[in-house]
Amino acid sequence: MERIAKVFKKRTTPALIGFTVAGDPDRKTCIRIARALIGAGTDILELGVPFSDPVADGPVIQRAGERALAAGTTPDTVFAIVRELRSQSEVPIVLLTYFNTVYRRGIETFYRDAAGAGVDGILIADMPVEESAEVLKAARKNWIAPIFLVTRTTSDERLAKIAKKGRGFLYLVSVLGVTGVRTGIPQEAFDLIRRTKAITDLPVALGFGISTPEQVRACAENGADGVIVGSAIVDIIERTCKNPDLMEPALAGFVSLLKQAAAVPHPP
Amino acid sequence: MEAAGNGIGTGEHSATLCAGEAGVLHGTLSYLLQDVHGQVLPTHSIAAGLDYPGVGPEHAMLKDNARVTYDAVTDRDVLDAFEFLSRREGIIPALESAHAVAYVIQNAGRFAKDDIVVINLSGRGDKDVAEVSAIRGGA
Repeated sequence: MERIAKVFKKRTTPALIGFTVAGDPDRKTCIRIARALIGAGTDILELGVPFSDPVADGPVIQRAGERALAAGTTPDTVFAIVRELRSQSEVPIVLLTYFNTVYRRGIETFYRDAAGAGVDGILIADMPVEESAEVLKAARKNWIAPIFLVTRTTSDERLAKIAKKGRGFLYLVSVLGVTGVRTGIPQEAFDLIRRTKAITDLPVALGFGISTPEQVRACAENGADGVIVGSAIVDIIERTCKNPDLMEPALAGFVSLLKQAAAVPHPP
Repeated sequence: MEAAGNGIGTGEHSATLCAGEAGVLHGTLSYLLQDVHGQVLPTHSIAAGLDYPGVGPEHAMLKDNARVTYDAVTDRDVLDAFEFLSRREGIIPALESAHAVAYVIQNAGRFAKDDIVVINLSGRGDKDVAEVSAIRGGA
């Protein structure tokens, strides 16, 4: 949990949060992918836990989940990947998962195993704050930041409630829809950044649909503390995973471009 | 009455209450057809309306507090029941509702002549005639 706080401490430019699906296309290649992302300057690594019914994800990340599941990825595989990455890096690692995966393993067991592997935060995409008491308890006990989604349709009242329970950062969803590359970022997403910052001191990271340096720059200019890029990274993986030697430089090059774009001091 | 599809043993069914375990899908905690890691399993039923890995949580409660007994019948028995009721009464039951008809036919021996048995035909089978015809090769 402290690793996340450290990333956001005294930042003047937004943190780059890079996403990939754990176990895509297989465990070994996934570790190479994660290392390439981290090596190129990813500030926080988000690992998706593959799930059969990923209701928040668009086609690119859905296919990544299918590849990971076809390769036999289980929560144990995910924890093993985290453990291996953690042995060489202090980059914060956040898991993105769906609740049934957590519930099936046992909430406390899942959080304990995650903490043991070196996970810093867990976002459960289909867990509303109102239902989260047990999850919050397990998160607190295991020093894992519970990260929540906030959307443009979240009321101020509910936003305050979520901000009170969330730790690490708040994940602001830029669009009304699923993950996936889009052109531009709607003004409403930037309004959401301002609205959230007026309510909480938690760092705010904007995600969903952000894929280009220009979009990352726009997030920086609009005061985001973090920018989350997922589908665009997974798309590179999909196109190059047959040839990991090409994939690593492609990912590193892309992340470097995003990092440069993020290097715009955000407004005070 | 749940959908045993090609038989619960084949894995090609939607008999959530008979063969599922507690899980959360689409925002509800209920019985769920899933593997040991919580991955939701593919389902099958001849009745589109039953072809789902979960079940309304009210049913999960009624099962757990033993106020309702749940059972399952196969696609084959459902087709027979569909045809039986259509020919016998001129009422075409939806394939979903035909599951209940199949169960009563199968269990007819358990009822006395004067027992009153209520079957809720919750849907009409006009929508299913083409599918049944395709499966059974026309009438």
